[in-house]
Amino acid sequence: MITVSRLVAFEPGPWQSAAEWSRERGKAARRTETDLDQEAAKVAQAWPSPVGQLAAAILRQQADAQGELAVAYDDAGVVIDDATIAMGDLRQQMVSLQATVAGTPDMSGPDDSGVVTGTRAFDNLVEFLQNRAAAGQFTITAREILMQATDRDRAASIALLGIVGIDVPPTNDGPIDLSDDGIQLQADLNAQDRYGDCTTLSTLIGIAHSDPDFIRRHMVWDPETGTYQVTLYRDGEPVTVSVDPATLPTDGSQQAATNKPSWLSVYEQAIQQEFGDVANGQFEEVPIARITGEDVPRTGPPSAADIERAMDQDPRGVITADTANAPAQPDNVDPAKRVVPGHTYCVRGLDADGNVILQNPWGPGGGWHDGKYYPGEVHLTPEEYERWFSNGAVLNPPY
Amino acid sequence: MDIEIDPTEVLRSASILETVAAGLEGGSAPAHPGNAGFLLSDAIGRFASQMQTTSDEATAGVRTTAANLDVSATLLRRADDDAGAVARSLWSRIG
Repeated sequence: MITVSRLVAFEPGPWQSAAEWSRERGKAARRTETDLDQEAAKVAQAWPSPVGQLAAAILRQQADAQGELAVAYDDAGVVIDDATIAMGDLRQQMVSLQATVAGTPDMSGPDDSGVVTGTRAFDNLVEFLQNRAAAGQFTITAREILMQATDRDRAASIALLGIVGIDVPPTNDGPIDLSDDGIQLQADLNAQDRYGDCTTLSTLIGIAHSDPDFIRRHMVWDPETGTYQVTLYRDGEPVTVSVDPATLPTDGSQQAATNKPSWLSVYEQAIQQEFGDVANGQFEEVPIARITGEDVPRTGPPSAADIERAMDQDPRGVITADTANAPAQPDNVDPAKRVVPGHTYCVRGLDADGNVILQNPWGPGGGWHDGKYYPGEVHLTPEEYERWFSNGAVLNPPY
Repeated sequence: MDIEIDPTEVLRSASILETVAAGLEGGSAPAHPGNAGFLLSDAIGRFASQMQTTSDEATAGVRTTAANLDVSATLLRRADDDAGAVARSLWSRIG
C-alpha cells in the first residue's frame, strides 16, 4: 500500500527519464530494423543462390526481432508516461487535501495511512458532529486517493512487465485487490448497507487485520469462470460458493464513499447465496461458524485483559462485541462515545490510554440511527465498554 | 556456384552489419529509478534488465551474421567451388 508520505514525495523526474530512455531505445531499434531490412535486400540481390537467400532471410528475421523490440520499448514508454501523469495527479490531490485539512479548525492529519482525526471537544453537539463527520469524509477521500495510487502503480507494473512476458504475482486475484494492504484497507473502509449482518462483517474485519491470508485461502479467483470461489462452512464442513463480482447487489456491503465492491461484498454475497439469510444469527455463534467452521462460544464482552492477550498473539485474535442486550446509553453521553443499539462492533485493540477501540462496520464515516449520529470508531474506557456492551466472542488463532 | 554472385556487395553488407551490431551495444538501462515504495520503480528496473538481455542476444545474432557474411564473401571472392561449398556449409549450420 502506498502511504501518504510516499505519495507526497513522488518525483516524476525519474519515471519521465525512464520513459524517455524507452522511447529512444525504441527509435534506435526501428533504425536498426530498417538497416537490417536494407542489407537483407542487398544480400538477396548480390547472392541470388539459395544460400544467399537463406542469408537474407536470417537478416530479415533479425530485422523483425528489432521491430518487436521497438514495439515493446514504445509500449513501455506509454505505460510509464501514463502512470507518471496519473501519479502526479494523485499526488497533487493528496497535497491539496493536506492543505484543506490543515486549514480546517480542529482537524489533524492525514496520517501516513490516510486517517484524518477530528479534535473538536464536545462542547457543542452540532459542531462536534460536523467535525467528526468532516474528519470521516476527509479520511475516506485520503484513503481513496491512496487506493487509486496503489491500484494505478500495481496495474502499471503488471502492464510493463507483461510486455516482456514477466508475470507479477499475484496476478490471479481477479478484479479485487487481495494483497495484505488491500484486504485491510477494504476492511477499514467497509460500509454495511442493506443487510443486518454486523457480526459477520465485524468478524471479517477482524480476520483481515489478524490473518489476511485466511481471506486469500478462502476466496480464490477462477479466471476461467470469472468468479470468486468462496469457501464457507456448513455444519463445520467446507462448502464452495461461486460469486460473480460483476453481479453483486448495488446495495450490499461496499467501500465507503466510492461504493466500490470489496472482498467483504463478495463474502457477504457468498453467505447470502449459500444460506439465503446473511443477516441470520447475528447475536449467536452463527456468523463465525459459517466463516471459519469453528464453534466459538458467545460470552460476555471480552475484558480489556482478554483483548490485550488476544492482540498479543501472532497472528492476533479476532474479537467482536455487541450491544444486543446492553442497557441504553444515557442521552447526554459524549457523542464520540455513542454506540449503536443492537449492533456488533469489531474490537480493534486498546489505545495508548488503555481505552477499547471499536470499529463500526457501518464505515469510517459512521452513520445516523433514530435521529442520532454514531461514529465510525469509538474509544471507550474499559468500564464504559463493559457497561454498554453485553456480549462478545474471541476467535483465537489458529482458525 | 552462381555466376551472378557479387562478393563485394556481400562483404560490404558484413561491414555494415558490424557497424549495426556495434551501434546496438552500449547505453545504460535505468535500474530502479527513484520513488521508493512504488512497484513501478522496481518494474522499470526489471523491464530494462530483461530488454537488455533480449537486445544483447539480438546484437550477438547480428554480429554472427556479419562474421559469417564476411567469411562467405572472402570465400566467394576466390570463386572456388570448394570455397562455395564451405560457405553453404557455414550457412546451413546457422540456418
